[in-house]
Amino acid sequence: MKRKKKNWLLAACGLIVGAVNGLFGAGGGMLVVPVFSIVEKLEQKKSHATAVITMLPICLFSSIGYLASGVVEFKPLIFVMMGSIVGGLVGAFALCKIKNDFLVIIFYILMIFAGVFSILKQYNVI
Amino acid sequence: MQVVWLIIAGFCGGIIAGMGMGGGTLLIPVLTLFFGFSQKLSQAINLIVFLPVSIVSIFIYAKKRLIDFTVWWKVTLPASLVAVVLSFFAAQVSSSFLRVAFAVFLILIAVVQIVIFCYKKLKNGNSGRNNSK
Repeated sequence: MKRKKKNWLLAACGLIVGAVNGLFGAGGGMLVVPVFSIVEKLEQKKSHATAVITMLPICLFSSIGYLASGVVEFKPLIFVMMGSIVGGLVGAFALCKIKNDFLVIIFYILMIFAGVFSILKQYNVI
Repeated sequence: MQVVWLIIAGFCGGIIAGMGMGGGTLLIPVLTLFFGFSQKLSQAINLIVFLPVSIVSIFIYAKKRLIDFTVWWKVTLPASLVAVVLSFFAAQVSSSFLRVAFAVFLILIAVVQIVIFCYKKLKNGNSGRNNSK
């Protein structure tokens, strides 16, 4: 693929990534990783690492609407943040070492469960 | 006690986020299902929590030369513009709508990922383990 065409494709993917991330407050990263590995042919670890820097400004901009509307409660935010900074360190070092297929599949299955439970709970089935 | 669980939830989400696998996809349902937070609050928490986490991760990756600095902004620029607009929209719509939409999105993306994963396995299965490259 030509460079110019690739750039347009990246920008188009960016529009989708931004929409998803702004609306759902998550998920942009999961979409960006395959974009980099397919369009730019980056190897797996590089796609993941580059996805993190790509998502930083996107998440910053995504949080503006939420902050402006005043839904944010800062007390739980601080505690989750404390845990996740440590977790983030562990995860970033882990990425440089492991690639466990089993864990990846477990993670996706958990996602499906989480989605199904959310819907069931919303409609008071459980 | 809830404080301890919040920190643990953040820790788990942080690990996955740091690995560039989408920590929020796990953290948001945990916050809504186990802590009873509204969908909007959970989404907002996830977004803001990711900021320091990603800065820490970026330093580690940059040191290991894993970041491709030539392409990221090509996605980031258009994405950021759309993201601001959609975040204002998300803050306006009802939390229950968002919750169901998010759940459908989760299921969809997980199924797609599993299909891609299996496809790759089948394709590379005969030539032994294939770790990137």
